[in-house]
Amino acid sequence: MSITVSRLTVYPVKSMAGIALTEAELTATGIRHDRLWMVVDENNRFLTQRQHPEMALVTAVPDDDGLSMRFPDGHELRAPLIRDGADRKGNGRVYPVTVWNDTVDGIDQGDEAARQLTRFLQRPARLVYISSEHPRRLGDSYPAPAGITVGFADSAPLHLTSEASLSDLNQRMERPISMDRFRPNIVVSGTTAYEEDHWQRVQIGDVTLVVVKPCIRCQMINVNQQTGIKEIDPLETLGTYRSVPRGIGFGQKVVHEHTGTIRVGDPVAILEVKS
Amino acid sequence: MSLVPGNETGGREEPRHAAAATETGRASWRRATVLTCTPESSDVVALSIRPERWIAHRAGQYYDIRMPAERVVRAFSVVSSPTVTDHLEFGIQVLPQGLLSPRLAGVRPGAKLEIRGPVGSIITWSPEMAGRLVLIGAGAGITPLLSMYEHATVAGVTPSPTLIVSAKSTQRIFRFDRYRSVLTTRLSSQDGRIDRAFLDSILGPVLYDDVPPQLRLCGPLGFIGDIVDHLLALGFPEGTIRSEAFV
Repeated sequence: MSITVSRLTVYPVKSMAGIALTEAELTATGIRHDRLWMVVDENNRFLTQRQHPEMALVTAVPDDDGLSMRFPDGHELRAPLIRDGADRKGNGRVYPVTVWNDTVDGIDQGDEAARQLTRFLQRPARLVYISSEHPRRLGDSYPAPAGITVGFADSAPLHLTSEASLSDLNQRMERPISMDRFRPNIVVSGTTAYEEDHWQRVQIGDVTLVVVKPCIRCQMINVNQQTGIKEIDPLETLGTYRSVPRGIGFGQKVVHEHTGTIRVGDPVAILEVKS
Repeated sequence: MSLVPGNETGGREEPRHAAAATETGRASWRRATVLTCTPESSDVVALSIRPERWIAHRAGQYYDIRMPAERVVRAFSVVSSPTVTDHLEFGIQVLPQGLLSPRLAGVRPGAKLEIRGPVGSIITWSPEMAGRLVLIGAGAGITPLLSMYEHATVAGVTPSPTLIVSAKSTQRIFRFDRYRSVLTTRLSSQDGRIDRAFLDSILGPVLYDDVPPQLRLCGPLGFIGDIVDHLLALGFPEGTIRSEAFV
């Protein structure tokens, strides 16, 4: 059975709903628009579904001029993209924002977006866009080819899972879950369960990808992405059989060696496996 | 790029059959009454509660806790041993701008909370597991480790567990006075972070145990990464290490 790409997903705003794609353009930071926006608290620190599972219910559709957001209560927001450089109202202010242990420059996306997010999350919150002038570099543990950076993703620009791994997990679950719990960018079909753990380099379409390390999972996979409510699984079930020294692994962090385009249905060629 | 807006990255999640977790009530919210809530260290309170219905837990598990009918939910490790069966105790790290912990720190005896659990399978331990128990924690990460330590002690497990804790100061170690005689403490403010030589000096002999040890780690993400790197470099097999990072 041949291995192919079965799903592609982009998450323009970190921790908000994903958008299914049929074709994904890989830019320097990963899939075009992927996690270039982020919500921060009053300390300019990232906010995610870990604290606010309801963020899963907010859709944000990007275009070259900004974001169209829709909240579950029906509110809609058009957040025009503000690039580096503040205007007279102070929109576009650039300030350091924190995502995990990284501090990078974020560009404030204006008071209206902040107002809507603060209302929805019931705490001070602002929307920021990553500065293209001060790109976020990958950590030392990543084989980052020249020019490859990352947006507000947790670490690597891309996250890959397989349908077979999810099926295996669901065989063990009392209540099957859907792939969106893991928020992958690329899902492949036609593999055996967890076959992706053994890959070193793969070719998809015209892009070569390096499989860097397992994705260590946290409480966030317990958030039902369709209800925005945190449940007690699948973290517990995964913990019974997918424990690695650093935690629980499911899926792989991936870095692309160059830009290009990948499509649903593209064959996946295994170029190299881990020794 | 073609965009398909909405939550369409996966199918609907429908139950396959009645969940065992639901049958036992673990996955449902139930009420609990606050027994005591007392400061334990500079930023941690000990919260003791009595659930309206008792469900046995394993050392290393946690509970989701919320104020009645509120939406902010946070997970807290059980600090009391599974052998204590009339109440549950938690060590709550109070984050000044947290949405729940400052409020939990202010609850009075008799107040009602809602809890869901016990949950968790990653760093659980029980006395029938073979191999020396080695517990390594940082900050609030000590709380599930103390549950394991207490359980091992009550069960008379030999050798007694090794308990290593990293903290900025002893004031920040949960119940330092009670555990000081059995703790190996590394104070980051004066000795720096736990490094390989430090671990080697304590755990070197464990590598020669006939039965591989049970290593349990709990702490911040960066701490876990560093300790795992050190343990693997020292020669501990991957399968002996289980860790849970709090984020």
